[in-house]
Amino acid sequence: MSGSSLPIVLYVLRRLVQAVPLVVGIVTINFILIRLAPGDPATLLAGEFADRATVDRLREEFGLNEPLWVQYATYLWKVASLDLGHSYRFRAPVTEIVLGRLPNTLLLLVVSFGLSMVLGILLAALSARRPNSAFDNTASTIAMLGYCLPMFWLGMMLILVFSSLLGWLPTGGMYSLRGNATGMALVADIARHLILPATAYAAYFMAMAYRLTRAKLIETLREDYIRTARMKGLSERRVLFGHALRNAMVPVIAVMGLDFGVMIGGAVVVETVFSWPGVGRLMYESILSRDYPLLLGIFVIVSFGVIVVNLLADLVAALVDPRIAYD
Amino acid sequence: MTDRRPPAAAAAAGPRRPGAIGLFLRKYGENRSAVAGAMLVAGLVALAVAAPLLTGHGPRQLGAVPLLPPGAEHPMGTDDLGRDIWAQFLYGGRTSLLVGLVAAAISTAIGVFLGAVSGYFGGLVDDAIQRVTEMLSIVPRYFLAMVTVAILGPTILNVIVVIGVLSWPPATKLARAEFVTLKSRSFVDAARMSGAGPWTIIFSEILPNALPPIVVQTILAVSAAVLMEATLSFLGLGDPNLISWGLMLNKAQTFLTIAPWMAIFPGLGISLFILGLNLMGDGLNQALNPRLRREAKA
Repeated sequence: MSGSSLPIVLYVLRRLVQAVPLVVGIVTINFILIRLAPGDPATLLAGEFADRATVDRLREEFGLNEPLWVQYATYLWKVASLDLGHSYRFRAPVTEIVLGRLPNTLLLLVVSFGLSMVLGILLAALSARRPNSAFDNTASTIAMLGYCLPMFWLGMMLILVFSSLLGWLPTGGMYSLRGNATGMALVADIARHLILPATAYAAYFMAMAYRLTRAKLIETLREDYIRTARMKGLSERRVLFGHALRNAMVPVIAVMGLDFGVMIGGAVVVETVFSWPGVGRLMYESILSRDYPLLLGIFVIVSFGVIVVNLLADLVAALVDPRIAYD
Repeated sequence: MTDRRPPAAAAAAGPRRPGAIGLFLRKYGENRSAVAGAMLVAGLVALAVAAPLLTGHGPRQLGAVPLLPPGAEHPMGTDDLGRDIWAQFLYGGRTSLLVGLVAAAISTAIGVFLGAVSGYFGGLVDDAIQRVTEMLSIVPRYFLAMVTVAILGPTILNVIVVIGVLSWPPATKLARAEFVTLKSRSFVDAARMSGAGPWTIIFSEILPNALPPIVVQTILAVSAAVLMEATLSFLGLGDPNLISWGLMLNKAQTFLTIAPWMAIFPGLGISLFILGLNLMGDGLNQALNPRLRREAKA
């Protein structure tokens, strides 16, 4: 094991180094956006209703009277020291506000992602075993729908049916209003609030995991080593889950990891529809109140998060298929 | 076209051997969901184009009773200001269509150009373009689009340009792969030996042969652009002067439980449009790609 782990370590290090220009690129995009905005950047960062002193202080702080490259260096340095400015709506540091909301978004993400990966892959395995069977056709149709229904509309329809019509689940939020539950009661309360947003969010992930895995599995099940495994007398289940799925998973993990940047966008609409108090909802609120420092800060922090997830996906893919690290 | 088809597929065309396009149409027609997709898209496009003929109401015309459920006078009901939802649905489809087509045209043009250059020339240019493409694919696109539109202002032009400029990586990856494969074919060597320059080879020799998969990619790009526009409008980042399905859903949120028709119809519009485009994309892919065709039958 120790002999084979060195290439993986090197591989991860190489990917880490490759992430550096990406981080700089994202901060640069932010800087350009601040400059591109109509009007004075200092006013943009201070907010429409800021007083003269605040605007002047920000102009000083961001070196806006200095040449452009000094401004750029100042901005890079501020981001590197995790200073993403002040939200003028919350009157608090951006980093603090976003990190405060992050756990709620992570909870939603992890639950949705876990649910969709398990269900998506399981259904794909059952479909790929008999392509074009009744089961496959039904599952594929559902996946197509999950892939095409906009998350925010699916969310609204879920509220309509399960909250408004049937009254089974709350329409939104994370806790019951009068709830001062603790312990297991609190967990149960949050779980009840989590079901609908997680379903709306997971539908798309699941469809994607299903489609990718199914296509890859059908291809893999034709390989010679699968025939060998079958001829060895292995049970169909061992062949499917032990041999085929493991190899089909590598590209699936890679694609899902790479698309994470697109998927995370769903958090904004899902959290908005369900009033889930996470980073996505915060994004929506800052759009409404034109809180630009907060908007830009959320973009930076979410981007960094996406980069980390990409690295993790690379690492998992390399662990499942060590050949990747040798390329 | 003919060049791309392996002999097996050509032979499968039967004794009468219809042309490449005939064969393709037949293959596409055999795929029921692909035909359904094309009909969905055609139907929605027709509704949007013929909007003024299909409703006597203007999309912003006030006057009816607010929050009226669907009925004879207002087939999709009315909104909180007493405006006809059917009229808004028809005109909203125009916005989706416009943004989808123009943004996809922009992203495909950028993507194919970069992919072609990357795949044909290779070397350092290729490396540079691939790095940038990789970077843009990782950046959380929706967040970047929201920040950009919020800062530059929610006009239809900004929305279209932002979606187009942020969405080219898939087209680049596809075009690059096609160009890498096609550039070593003998017809390219022949063109080169007859003195054609690199740009002539790229645009007149290779590009026409790479078109079928690019067309499929463009259809999927339209669907992605429609979804992104709807999302931005839903979040209040669409052009406030244009009715769109996303904007209708944004308004519908407040009245979800008392006037669900405000939410149901525009959402159906977006979903069916995206579904139709994706079914078309899948169908075209299978009709164009003999290997997938065989797998679909397996």
